[in-house]
Amino acid sequence: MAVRTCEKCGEDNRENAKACVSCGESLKDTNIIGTKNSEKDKMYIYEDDIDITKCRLCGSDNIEIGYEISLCRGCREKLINRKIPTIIKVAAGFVLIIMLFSFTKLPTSINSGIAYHKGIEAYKAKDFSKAMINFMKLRERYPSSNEIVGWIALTYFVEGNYEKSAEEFKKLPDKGLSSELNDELEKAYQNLNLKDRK
Amino acid sequence: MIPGIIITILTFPGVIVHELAHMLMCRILKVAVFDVCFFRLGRPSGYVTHEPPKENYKNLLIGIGPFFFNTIIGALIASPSILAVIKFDSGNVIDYFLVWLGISIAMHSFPSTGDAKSIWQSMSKKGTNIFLKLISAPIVLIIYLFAFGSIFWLDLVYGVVVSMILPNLLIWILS
Repeated sequence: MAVRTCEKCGEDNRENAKACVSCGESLKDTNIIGTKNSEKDKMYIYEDDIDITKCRLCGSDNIEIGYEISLCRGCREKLINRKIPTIIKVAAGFVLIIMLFSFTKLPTSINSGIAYHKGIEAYKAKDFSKAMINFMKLRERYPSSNEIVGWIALTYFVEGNYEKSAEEFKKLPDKGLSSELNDELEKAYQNLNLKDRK
Repeated sequence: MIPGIIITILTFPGVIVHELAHMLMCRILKVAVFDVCFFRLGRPSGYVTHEPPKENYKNLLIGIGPFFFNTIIGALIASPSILAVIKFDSGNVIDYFLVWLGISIAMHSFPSTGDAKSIWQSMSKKGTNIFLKLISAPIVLIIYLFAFGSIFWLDLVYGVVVSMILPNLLIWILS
């Protein structure tokens, strides 16, 4: 613990003492010797040879009963409401704003997901015009999406519009499509082979 | 193999939210906090040192607090952009930023093994409610399994999965 040594009688006083406990001399102008408690709160809290009947931070006798670590109500309140650093508050505020901003994007994202889902459902039900409407809607939102291009190409293909289908297929990479789309492409290709044989 | 320190740096927002969640739980439950480190380059990458609470259930709640905070915040941030990035492979810079931030936060949802030790210690105390012990034991086990799984990127998988759940659930309900 840091101390204030009285210049008059040499008594060591607590670092926050205003006057000497021995002679009453003012300690206003005396320097603190040792490390301040505020700088070694954690170390001090865990000292083993400490008087458990006193608050480990301020030394007060009014400790709260029932806790493993003896602290007075004031010190405990101070530690419960420990200040959050400004930079962390700013960062938390930033995350909160981003969360709200992100939330405003959710309806668009969900609508896209629904259009994708409905498009595939319609394709599987062989309602190709409905499927195409949904896939085209998605293409407006995600023009660079290979997955959407793949479904559009496939829908043109099964509709028999081979020219447009070929145009779309040219835009596709060899890899990176979903397994569902790959399966449907495989099925469409097999059906075409069967038709050719007939 | 990417060193843990690199992953910690790349996902630092998750560490900060994780420690903030512990600290807020301490504040809500009126538990004194002795020391907080929101982020550092070391092990652990952040910590909150608090007094042993009077009631043991508070220790459990402080320990698992980040699971709820990080999961919800991470999912809400990443969800709107995850379809554009993963399903349609067509995200813009903002979408990629939101997915990075959301997944970074969500992948730090699970309490650390330090939190698990603290929960275990408090439930091992004499007089701990049997119901609390029954809840805490599997939680501690899950935390350790998850910590082991993080070697195989389970934390990243968790982050992606929670980000995907909300939009897919809404699509499933609404379509």
